[in-house]
Amino acid sequence: MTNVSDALWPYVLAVVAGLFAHACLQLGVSMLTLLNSHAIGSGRAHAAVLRLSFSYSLGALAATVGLVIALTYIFTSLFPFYSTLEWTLLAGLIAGVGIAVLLFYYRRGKGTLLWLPRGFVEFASSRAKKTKNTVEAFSLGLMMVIAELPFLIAPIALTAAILSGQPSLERSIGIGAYSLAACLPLFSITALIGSGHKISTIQRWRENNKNFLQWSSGLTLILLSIYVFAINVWSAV
Amino acid sequence: MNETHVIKRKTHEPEKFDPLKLHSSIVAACLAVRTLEGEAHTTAERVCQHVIDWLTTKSEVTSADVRRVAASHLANYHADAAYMYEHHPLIA
Repeated sequence: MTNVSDALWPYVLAVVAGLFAHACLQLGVSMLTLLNSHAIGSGRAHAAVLRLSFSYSLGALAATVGLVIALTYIFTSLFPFYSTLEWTLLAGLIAGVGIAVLLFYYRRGKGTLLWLPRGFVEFASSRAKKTKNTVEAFSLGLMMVIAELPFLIAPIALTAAILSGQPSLERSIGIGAYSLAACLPLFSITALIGSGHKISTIQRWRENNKNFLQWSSGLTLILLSIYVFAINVWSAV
Repeated sequence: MNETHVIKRKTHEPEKFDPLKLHSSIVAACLAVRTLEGEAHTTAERVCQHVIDWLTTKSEVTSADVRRVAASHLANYHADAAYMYEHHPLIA
């Protein structure tokens, strides 16, 4: 039992690093900021704003859980055992996404403009503006996780690959814990809004720290790819 | 006041300047940073008046110009609201 736990620790570390990179990605937070800004700005009651914000976060959580479960299932079905080839491909994907985060994640200039096509952002912003009930907010949260999939795929795929080799109880706990922790920034913002913090304070913090978030996320993914390659490929040679 | 047209950012089409539209967007920015409703409307009225004064000598401006001028005047009354007003299109 001790040996199994010891063998798991390097993988737990890899999942935690992936989780950190996941939590630094900002599309979900951007859209939640817009949603709150529109909801508070249109004079909605505090409880209604909180309901929308919480539903949005729940939507993002549901999408994250769904994606991790789907990928875990796919990996379990396709790869009952991982060879060095699969780990090399996974490390390559993580490194590629890490470089993409460093190069493309934020647009240059003021604000926190993201990599997304402007047409999609305008559509999503207008959806955030029109969101009046919790079902719409839930769907918006869900949609934003799917929209960020080109970047989220790396940490989620790594987690799924690691969890697919675990017994079902550990796998379920892992999926739940990963998804909750990945959505923690959204729930934290909901709590901040609920406790009376201004949306401008949150947006200022995001703008002042956008380079830090981008570099932390990108570099973590690049280092993670080297780590994954080292513990699974180099150690096997 | 002569009739000023605003060139829209998305469509590049000119549109007659609508002070009510500006007023409601400033009220929304003020409310978004938890300003009281009465104060939000008073601030919006003042800012709109500044923008209308600025527009008297102009026949055509862009919506970005209006946003910039309104934000600079709003900053004198409420810095947080001005920040949200100016940065709203730059959030995502």
